[in-house]
Amino acid sequence: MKKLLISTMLAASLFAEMNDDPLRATLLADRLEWQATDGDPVAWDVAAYAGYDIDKIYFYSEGAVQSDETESENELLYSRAVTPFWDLQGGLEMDTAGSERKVWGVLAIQGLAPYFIDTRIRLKISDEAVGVNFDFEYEALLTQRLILTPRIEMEAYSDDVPALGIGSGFSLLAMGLRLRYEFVREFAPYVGVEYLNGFGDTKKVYGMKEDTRFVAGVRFWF
Amino acid sequence: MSKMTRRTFLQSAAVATLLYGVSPTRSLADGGENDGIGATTGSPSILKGNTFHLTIDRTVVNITGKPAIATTVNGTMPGPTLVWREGEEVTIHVTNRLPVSTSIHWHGIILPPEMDGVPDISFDGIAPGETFTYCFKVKQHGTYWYHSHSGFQEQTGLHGALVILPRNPGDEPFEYDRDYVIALSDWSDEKPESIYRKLKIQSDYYNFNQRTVGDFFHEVAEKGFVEAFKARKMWNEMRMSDRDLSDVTAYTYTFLMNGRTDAQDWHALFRPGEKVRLRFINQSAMTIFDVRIPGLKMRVVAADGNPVQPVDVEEFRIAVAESYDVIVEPEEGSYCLFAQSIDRSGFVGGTLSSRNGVRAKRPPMEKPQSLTMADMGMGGWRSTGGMSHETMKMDHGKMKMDMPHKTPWPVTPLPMRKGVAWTMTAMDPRYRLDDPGVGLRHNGRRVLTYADLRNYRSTADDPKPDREIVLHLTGNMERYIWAINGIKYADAQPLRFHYGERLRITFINDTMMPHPMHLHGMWSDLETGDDTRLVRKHTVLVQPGAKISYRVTVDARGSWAYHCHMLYHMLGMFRKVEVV
Ligand SMILES: [Cu+2]
Repeated sequence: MKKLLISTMLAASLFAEMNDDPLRATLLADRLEWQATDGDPVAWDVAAYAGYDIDKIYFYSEGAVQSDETESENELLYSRAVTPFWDLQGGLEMDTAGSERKVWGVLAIQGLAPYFIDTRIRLKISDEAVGVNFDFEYEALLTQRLILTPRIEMEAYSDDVPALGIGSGFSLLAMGLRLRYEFVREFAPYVGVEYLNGFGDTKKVYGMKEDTRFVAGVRFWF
Repeated sequence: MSKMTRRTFLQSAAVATLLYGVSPTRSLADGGENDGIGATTGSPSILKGNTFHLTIDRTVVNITGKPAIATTVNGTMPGPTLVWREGEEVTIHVTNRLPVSTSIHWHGIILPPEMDGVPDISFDGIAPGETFTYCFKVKQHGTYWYHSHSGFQEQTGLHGALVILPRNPGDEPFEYDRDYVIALSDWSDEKPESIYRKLKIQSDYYNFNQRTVGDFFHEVAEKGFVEAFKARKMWNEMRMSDRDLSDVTAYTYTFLMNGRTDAQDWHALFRPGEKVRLRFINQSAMTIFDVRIPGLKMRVVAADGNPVQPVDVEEFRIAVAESYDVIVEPEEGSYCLFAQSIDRSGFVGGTLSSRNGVRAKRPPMEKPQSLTMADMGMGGWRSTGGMSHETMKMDHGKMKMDMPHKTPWPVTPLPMRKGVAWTMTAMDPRYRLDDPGVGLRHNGRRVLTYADLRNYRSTADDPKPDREIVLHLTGNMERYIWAINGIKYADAQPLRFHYGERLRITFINDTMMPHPMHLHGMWSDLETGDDTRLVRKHTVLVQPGAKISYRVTVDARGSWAYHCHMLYHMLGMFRKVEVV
């Protein structure tokens, strides 16, 4: 019985006949880094999915821990491939700032734009405000393993979200430049710089400062 | 000696070579050298006769210095070379000692559908512990091979050569003194499931020949920013890479010749003045090889087992599942049998020598070429501007190629799905039979192309097609999805062929990858521009962005498999054919 069970499992998982689209799961820590600025924050940007060619469940988490303060944006979405290069996504997002929490409904498109620009555009909707977030990343190969990644992220909101320290209008600009070395595809340490700036009330009322910081971290997936 | 006696002598010498071998590094009697861990990685053993017992099992091998598990036939990888004779009936008992279902498909062999060995199409597969008996009459001769059609077993070693002797010695239209099988394959210590998963997560995982910033600046320095930018524009807009030559590379593969690595140097002997027949078979899962023997001219005498009008070349490309028989006449010395992968990530060499114990010097591996606009389906391949030169041989016009706009036969419409599995459409796909393909263009050597292949016998009286079907080879390299007409096998209806009809099949390759397409059970008579010499193949390489056509006499009832022979493409790029 045990033998039968094992062989059935093996047959299903390893030698399944003509299954072009097996269930798979992966986690990518695109950024896991120490930032050289007040409070020595550690920042992360992680994406994980489980699913198939067309349908996937995605989990995204982005944030930073600084002294005893944690800020994060966490999304759980259903993702569907709708065109050769684009996925349409929908689900929930929970943002945290210290002990504050805020839940949003999220609609997003994610994919590869012409000129190989990794793109994610997100619409966040709550009772308080509507927000948009643009995230673009490009990989420039200096060599086959040494890769320079410019990244730009922008955010804007219809109204103030005091719990998260966000003001209405164009609220955030983040630009990063990271240089990583892929020892293997799955593991690449990097160094870089990150420029951050807040605008409008985000800056005036909630005190987000302009800052350029050195970063060092590691990108990995499995 | 009279011609006839000499011929008889040569034939028996050839068989003797085949059976007992003369290579100093192999001992065919006991199935080759043992690597000490379990399985044989030396030359495959040779089994001859009408009845065979094959046992499929898992065996530990050591190819790279690390033990790994291979799927073996009678304990060896590749499996034994089977020698059959045309006209005889063969019985093969295949016993499965794996914990999973298995199968053996006789590649290129014309046989009843239930003997073809494709699970879910021909039969149920061979369950663990069971023995399946294949039994059929051998209707052909030449060089073929066999492999598993279950899961990814082919990648882990379940493949071997088939040599079919002609009914009467002397039936083949060429002579030779010695006969060697040269089976090329790709081995990975990684589990195939893991390779496939990685390709799904990051399709360029194994590609370490990508375009760099430096390459771009190099182009800028050469022709200025605007021109360099323009040259990249199309690729960038389509989100495609001109370095997308091979999905799986030597980063994980070790290339093998008759089961031996380059360091283990598969070795074959000859006596100066002898004619040596080399039966090249590409038994790889994913690797297209470019083969040459520096210093030797090769006379190609058969393609996919079928005799062709002899053509002398210095190099040929052999796609996955193809076979080419060549005859060489080496003089005293040692020659390298050199097979480099299409993407130039690696190679395997062997030695053909008149002396024992000499390792032939390997030529340097060449630099990879980039794909061109032609490979993207944007027109002709000759840079010297020949829109009209697309099919050189045809223009020279011994016989006119039937161009689609004046096709005298109806084209049967098939379902298509423009969607996630269809990223690129070749805007202007061309017949590029005289194009040796990326990596072999303008290299100064005489390279075999499909335009050189002409059937040995006349095909002038073969029937004309009754109808045509057009199949688009489609894919999404970004997501690693492969399909035909944008529809994956899992979602596809079977193709319907009518018993007795003569069908023309046209492939349009809407991807940037070459796909060796293989139809089971029936021959593919490739149109090379000369209808009197249609070359007969079982596997046809469709170049990226290109179009190619062949004719099929539908003379076998039943269900058959039709697919791309790249193992990791096959899962989606597959159709069941029903002959009704
Ligand atoms: Cu393919």
